[in-house]
Amino acid sequence: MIKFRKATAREVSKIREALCEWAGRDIYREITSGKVMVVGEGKIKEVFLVPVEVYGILNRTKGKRMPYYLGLFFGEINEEFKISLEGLWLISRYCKGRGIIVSEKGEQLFLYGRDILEEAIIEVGSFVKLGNKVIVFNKFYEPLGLGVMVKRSDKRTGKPKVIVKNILDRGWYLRKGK
Amino acid sequence: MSSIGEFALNDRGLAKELAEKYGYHVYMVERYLKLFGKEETIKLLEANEKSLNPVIRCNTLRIDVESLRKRLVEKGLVLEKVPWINYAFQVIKSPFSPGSTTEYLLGYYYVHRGMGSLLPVCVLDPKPGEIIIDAAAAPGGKTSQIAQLMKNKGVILAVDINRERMKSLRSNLSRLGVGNVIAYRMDARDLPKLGIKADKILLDAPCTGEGLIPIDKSRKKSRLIEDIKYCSTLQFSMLASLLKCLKKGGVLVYSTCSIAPEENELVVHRILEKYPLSVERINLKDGLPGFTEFFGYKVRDEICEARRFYPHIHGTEGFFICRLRLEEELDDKI
Repeated sequence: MIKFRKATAREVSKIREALCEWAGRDIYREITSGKVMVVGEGKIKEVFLVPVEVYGILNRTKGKRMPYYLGLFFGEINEEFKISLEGLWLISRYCKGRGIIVSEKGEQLFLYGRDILEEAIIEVGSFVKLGNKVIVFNKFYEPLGLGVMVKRSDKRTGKPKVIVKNILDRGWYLRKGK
Repeated sequence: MSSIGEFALNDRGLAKELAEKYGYHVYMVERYLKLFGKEETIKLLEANEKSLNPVIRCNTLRIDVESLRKRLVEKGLVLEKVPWINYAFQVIKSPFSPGSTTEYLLGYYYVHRGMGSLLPVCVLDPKPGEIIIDAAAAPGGKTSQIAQLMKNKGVILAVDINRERMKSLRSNLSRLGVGNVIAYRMDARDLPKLGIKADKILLDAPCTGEGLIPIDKSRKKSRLIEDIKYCSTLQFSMLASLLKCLKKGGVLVYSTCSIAPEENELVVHRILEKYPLSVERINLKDGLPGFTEFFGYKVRDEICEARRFYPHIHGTEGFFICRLRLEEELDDKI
C-alpha cells in the first residue's frame, strides 16, 4: 500500500534544485503556490502536487484510509528527481531556452516513442547543450516530452549527426496509460 | 412488479417475433412493449441497431473550445455541436480514431461514447470551491468534466472499487491536467467511514447498461431479469450510504445508463420513502419525464421531475437522471 506524507525538507530541496536547473532560476514558489508537495511511498517514491484543500482531506482521513492517488503526479524521487509529463507541462513555459522545436513529422515519430533526427529539429533553445536533457516542443510550443541531445554517426554516411533520444513522451498515454 | 403472465397472448407472440428479429432476450422486448407500446418499441429497437457518434468534450482547463475546434477541423474531423453543452462536439466523420491525435495526448479533450454520459455532470452543476463526491468514478470521464467546471478549485473525492479502471482514471486525470482530485479505491458504501460531508454527490450507478445497446450490441443478450433485481438492490444500498456523506441542503444526482424502471424510478421511490429528500426539477430542454406508473407499480408523483433519454428520440444512449436534495443532514450511524 502507498503511504502519503508531506515531502521532507531534503526532498523539497532536491526538487527545487532540479526545477532551478530547468528554468535557470528558482521557480519552486510559483509552481507550488497554494499547493503542498506530497510524497507517495510504495515500491517507488512518487511526488504529487496537491492543492491545500485536497491536502486537508488527506489529513482528515488519515488513519481511516489511504488514497489511491491525489493531486497532480509531478515526478519520482530517489537519488535524483525525475519530472513527470504533467510536471513538464507545468514548468515548460519557464524553460523554452532548454527546449527544441520539432517538425510535424518529428512530432508524430516522437509521440510513437521514437528518437528525433537532426532533419526534424526546427529550432534549438539558447541554453541547450549536447548531452543535456531537453524539452521537446511542437510548433505551438506545446511540450511533447523529454529527450537527451547526443551526437551519433549516420548509418549511411558515417558523418556525426545530432539526434534527440526519447526519454519520455506523451504517447505514453496511448501505449501504457489506458 | 406485475408478472409477465398478465401479458396478452398476441403481445407475447409479437415480443417473441421482435426479439428474434433484433436478437434480444424475449423478456426484454416484452417489457419494452409494456412500457412503450408497439410503435415506440419498434422505433427503439431500430435506433439501437445504429451506432452513436463519439463525442469530444473540450477540456477547458487546457484549451478554449474554438481553438480546439479549429485544430481538429484542420485535421479533417467533421464536428457538430452537442445541442445542450457548449463545450462538446459530436464526431460525424474522422479520418482516424479521435483518441489518437496530438491534441488528445496533450489533454485537450476527452472522448465520450455518446452524448448521454455528459448529462449527469450538467445536472450536478459543480461550482469552484465545492466538495464533490464522484461515487463510481473510473475511468474518469465524469470526474474530469466536474473538475473543468470547478476550474480545478475545490475538492473531488473520486471513488471506485475496480483496480484496473482506477489505473485508467489516474491516467485520464493526469493527461487532462486535473489536480483537485483525491481518489480512493474502495466500495462507495464504505464512504461514510471517512467522515467527509460533501456539497454535492454524483452517483452514476453500476447498472445493467440496457441503454448502451447502440454502443455495445452484446448487451441485447448478456443480462438476465435477475441482473435487474441485483443492480436495483445494489443501487439502493449505494444511494442510502452516500446520503450520509451529504451536507444538509446538499444535492445528489442519481443516474444510470439503463432504461429499466426498477433501476431508476423504483430506486428513487424507495429512497424517498426512507430519507428526507426532495426531487428537484432538472433544467434541461430535452428528456422525457420519469415514469410514475410502470408494470402495475405506482411511485411518487414528484419522480416525474427526473429525466429519461432514448436513442430513438434524443440520439443518446438510454439514460436516466434524477436530482435529489437532502433536507436534513443524516447521522452517519443511521
